[in-house]
Amino acid sequence: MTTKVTIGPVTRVEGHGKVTIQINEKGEVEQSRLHIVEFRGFERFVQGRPYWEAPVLVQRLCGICPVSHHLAAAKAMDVVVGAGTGEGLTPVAEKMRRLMHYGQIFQSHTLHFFHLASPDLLFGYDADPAKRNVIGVALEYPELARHAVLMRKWGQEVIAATAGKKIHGTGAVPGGVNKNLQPEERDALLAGPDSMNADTMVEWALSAVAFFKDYYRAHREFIDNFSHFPSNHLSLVRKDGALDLYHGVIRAIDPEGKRIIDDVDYQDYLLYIREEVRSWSYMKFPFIKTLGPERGWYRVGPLARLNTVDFIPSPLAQKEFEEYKAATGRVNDRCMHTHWARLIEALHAAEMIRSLLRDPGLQGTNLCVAGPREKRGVGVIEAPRGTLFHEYEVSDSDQITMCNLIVSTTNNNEPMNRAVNFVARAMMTGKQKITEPMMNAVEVAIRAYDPCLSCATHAAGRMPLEITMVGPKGDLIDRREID
Amino acid sequence: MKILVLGYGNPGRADDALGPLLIEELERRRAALVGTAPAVRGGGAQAAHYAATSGATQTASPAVAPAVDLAWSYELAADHAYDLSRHDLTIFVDAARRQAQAVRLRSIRPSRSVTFSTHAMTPASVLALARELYRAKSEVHLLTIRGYRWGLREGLSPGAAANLAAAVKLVEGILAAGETLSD
Repeated sequence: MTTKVTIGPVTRVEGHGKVTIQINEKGEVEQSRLHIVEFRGFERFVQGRPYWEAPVLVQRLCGICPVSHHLAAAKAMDVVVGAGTGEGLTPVAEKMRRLMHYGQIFQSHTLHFFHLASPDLLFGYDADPAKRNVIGVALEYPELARHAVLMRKWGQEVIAATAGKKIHGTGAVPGGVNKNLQPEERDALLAGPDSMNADTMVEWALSAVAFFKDYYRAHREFIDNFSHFPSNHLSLVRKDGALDLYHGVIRAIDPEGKRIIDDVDYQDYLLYIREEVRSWSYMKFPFIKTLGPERGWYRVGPLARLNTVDFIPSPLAQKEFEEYKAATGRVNDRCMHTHWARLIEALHAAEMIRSLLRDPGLQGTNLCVAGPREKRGVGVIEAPRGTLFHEYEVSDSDQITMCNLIVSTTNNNEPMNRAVNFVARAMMTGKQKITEPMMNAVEVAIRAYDPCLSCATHAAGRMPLEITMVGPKGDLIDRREID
Repeated sequence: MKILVLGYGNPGRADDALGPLLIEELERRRAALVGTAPAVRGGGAQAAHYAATSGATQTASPAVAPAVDLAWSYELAADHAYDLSRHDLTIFVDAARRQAQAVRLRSIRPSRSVTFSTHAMTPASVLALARELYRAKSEVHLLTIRGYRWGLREGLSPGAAANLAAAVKLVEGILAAGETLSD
């Protein structure tokens, strides 16, 4: 007998997801699958639109990290307008975009840790859901909660100052930016109200890393062993091997740390990466071409980035990176360490924002460049959740004729499926009932990747949690729904 | 009295844009009042579509005083608790799939339960967070506007556009009164 268990949508993850776990006649987990709604509709949505609209339009992909799509599209269109790849922009344009991106990384990482990760860590994934949530954190750890709220808010203010507004910004345009940073905007970020200033944000980001390290010392067994499996890892890195979340070359390593994509230009990403379609999921499965789909899948995101890079180019984050590497080894494949890596990146983002705010180059006025038109452009960026690919083709009449997106969550599709399988086998084998802690364990494994499953419509009352158990003949065994 | 009107929804998902579009309409009316160019924030083709279907975008509105804070977001998150705590009255504006009325206004009480959704929070959980973290005494209401289409597309359905016009009138009335609301 095979029993099918369905959990969906996955809670506290952007958009909709559904988990199906098949249990065989011996009561063992035979197979686990994470079904996800994908963005294909959006790729068609932008076809026919003028190329200069893309950086604004694509922000509708995601309510949490629209800036990543904004900048990836702008980078692709830089190529189309002849401004080159990355290095071709004016200094003020590149600095403004970096400042915008670090603001995005900072607010997104902070929100994830506080809202999604900390309830599981502070209360345990088997704790009562009524307590294990963001309100519970505010009740028992108010100082942490107040810091997190202001960190997120400050990151949003950085975005507003660079993109023109917090939502649907227009700051990045093909070939550069449409504004610089005014002195009053700079001063508001360096010394804002209610501790919202750059020095305090660096200090609080450092405290967040310390918080995780304390937790790790007390719960090492759980953090190390909750879900871990070997994989390849992929990200952009700066040409000298530094962590660079805005621009770089593609590097991938195997589970032993050997380079399998060696610092290549992302305009040529199709030479190295392919996507596989599977009948049971709307989301594709990317893989490294030379290794094939079975061995070529890879992780992206904070854990992957701290595996691929050689160092972090900001002093406090570099110090934390060295401690992290000493504790975790050359290649880290432990899912829950993603939270640690994410907080180190948040610290790096805060340091970079502070450094950029002090740079008078941000008040420069040479905002845009252009050159000979190209028909195709690729923009790649390290979004909070991982590597994000945007590719466009543009006609002579300036219309977008083709768009291909590989979003971070698509890159992490196979790893998330493996993580679900790992946890399901550990917790559900031999069990007859799906308990709340089992459900949440599956979700904790998925949430470590902070997936953005699509920014689905969220009109009131549309996101129930449904759990369905189906027998071998499709007969319903059990169903739970929480609205 | 400090008032915040905060719409939320995805402008790329048809009628889910009702919250953001209400804010944009109020911004346009305020801009028309003070004689500045209409401030269409992030509206693009969708705002143009609404302008064409509602015919209400050039109306100056004394009710939308500069002191009223207007904002929109894709979804509510923890940092909105901070914003809420700095206002005496907050009106959240969202699209609704299941309600009989075109427009419905109700008061919100704090709730510690979080929905099974995403990073997003409900108005009730944002209020609960504001109470816990900032001892906020804000009065909070939720205005829901009936929508009908939710797919990946720009532009409101005709029914939603009509409902939005009714919602704008209702909010203007509240702002003109400048007082707290009762259930």
